[in-house]
Amino acid sequence: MKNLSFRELSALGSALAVIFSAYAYFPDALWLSAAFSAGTTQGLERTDLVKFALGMVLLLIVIEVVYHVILAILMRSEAHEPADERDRLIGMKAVRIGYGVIVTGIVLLAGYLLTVDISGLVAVQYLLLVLFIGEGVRYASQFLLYRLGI
Amino acid sequence: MAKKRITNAVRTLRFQCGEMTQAELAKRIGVTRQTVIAIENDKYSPSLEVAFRIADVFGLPITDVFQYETAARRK
Repeated sequence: MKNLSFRELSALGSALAVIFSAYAYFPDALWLSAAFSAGTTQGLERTDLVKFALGMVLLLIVIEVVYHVILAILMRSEAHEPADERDRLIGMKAVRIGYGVIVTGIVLLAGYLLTVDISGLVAVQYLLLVLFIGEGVRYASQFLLYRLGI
Repeated sequence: MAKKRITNAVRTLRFQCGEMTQAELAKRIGVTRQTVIAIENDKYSPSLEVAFRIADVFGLPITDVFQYETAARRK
């Protein structure tokens, strides 16, 4: 960990934050969505699911902000360096990889939805999952491109 | 087609140039120190503009700093 740069640690931390948030949200969200669709939830309303989703987004934002503030304090000189051509190139390549994952996920999800009858609420959760995986892959590939070279 | 790669003599030239630090070179060519490290380790081939700036810092033609090698030539 000691020889990792600010941008490498930033990408790695963001990837882990996305994975952690997804792990904290999706198992319960998928179960709740399925329960709502089946009408087996008692005392819970759809707005609770929305609140849960907003809580997940808030959790992700808080983790990212706190982590980057700590990182910026610990690596002050590197944190203030503006992005150069290599940073921009790595950023673009990572976005392309993440975009590929999202498009593939959406196509697979569309195929799945055509063959299996699931509720719109569950489908939305799957769509969110695809977006999260895409973001996770983007940050992970950013980290790997920094480490392995381009 | 033979595999080609770009190699460079930036690290050697830096030491020949009064042991210039990576940070100083980075500042003079307008990139981060991490990018200089990546260039020296052959993990990143800079743009033509940055390559010219590096050559300019050392006062050498670009071909003395960067070499374009085929796999056959490396053997």
